[in-house]
Amino acid sequence: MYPKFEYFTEEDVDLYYEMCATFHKLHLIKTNRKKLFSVNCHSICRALVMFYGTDTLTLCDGYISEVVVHPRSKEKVHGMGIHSWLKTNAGSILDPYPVGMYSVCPVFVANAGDESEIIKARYVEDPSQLDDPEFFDVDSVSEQAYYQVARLEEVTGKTRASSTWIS
Amino acid sequence: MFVSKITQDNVTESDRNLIIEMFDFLMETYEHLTKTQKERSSSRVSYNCHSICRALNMFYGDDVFSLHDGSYRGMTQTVNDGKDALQWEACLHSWLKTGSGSILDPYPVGILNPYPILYVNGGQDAAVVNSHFYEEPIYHYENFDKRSIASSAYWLLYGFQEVSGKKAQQCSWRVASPN
Repeated sequence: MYPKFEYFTEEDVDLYYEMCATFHKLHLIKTNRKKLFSVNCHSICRALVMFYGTDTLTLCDGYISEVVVHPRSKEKVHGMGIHSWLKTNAGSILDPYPVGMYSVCPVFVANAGDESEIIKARYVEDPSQLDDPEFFDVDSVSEQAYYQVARLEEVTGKTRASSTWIS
Repeated sequence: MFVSKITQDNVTESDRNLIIEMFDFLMETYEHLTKTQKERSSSRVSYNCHSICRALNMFYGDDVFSLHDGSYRGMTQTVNDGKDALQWEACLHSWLKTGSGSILDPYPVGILNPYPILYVNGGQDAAVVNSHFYEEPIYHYENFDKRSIASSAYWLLYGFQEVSGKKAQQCSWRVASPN
């Protein structure tokens, strides 16, 4: 058994693998859509919540908080970026669109174990971050989200849990 | 998979292909080793970042992956005297770098993913994501158990060779990373 599974509930691990398989299928199918738009964390998270349902996943909006040492000046720099992610019922973080990482599957942060605190601390919930239309264009995000839900249905053969828009 | 354009643009195509190739390979190896252990009724060998990185470095060779040791650092938020405070947290860690210089982490801190994560090597996010990895010698630390790490690294290497049907590029043991 992969050692880190001990930090996650069985339900979380099953959901993670199901999601990995779905992402892999999404990667393989080609889109017929002629109009191109940029995909972002807000739309993917909303699509996944609509698909899996709010009983399985909770939508979180806020920002990624990073304190780093600047490579040249050696000064501490506090950076942040608006972000959306998901939480499972066990409280684990599922990030399908992680910042600066290239991963075949969503990034899955444990809700237990000392090491997870370093990662969890970066995810700061603050829905007011999305109040600025410059950063969160509701029309564009909703168009993308509904398109992604339809793709999830296509590759899995399953029906979405809900079509209710979560602003 | 969903990847932003800026992330896509700041990892090389060969590194992306490597990640996709390793996706099934690592899981097959973990499953193969678990099955073999059960068949042999041997005690469970536990893996960690140090042993996985050493095994992958031996299997693929220095031309594909260089081995790096140090700590993974980050800030956590605490409350001191009723006020929010930030404090540094760090843990010993090992990781790899691809030929293009991107960090490839097969056993990322705090993250479940049994698949490696590739970090961007350029663009606006590179300084932030790479600054968590601080290179320093770690083999003198008490919790760097050389004997257990060597045993699990060679066990993993055996699995990589069995699953792939290929021989390791090098089998010499490196307690310390060469960098």
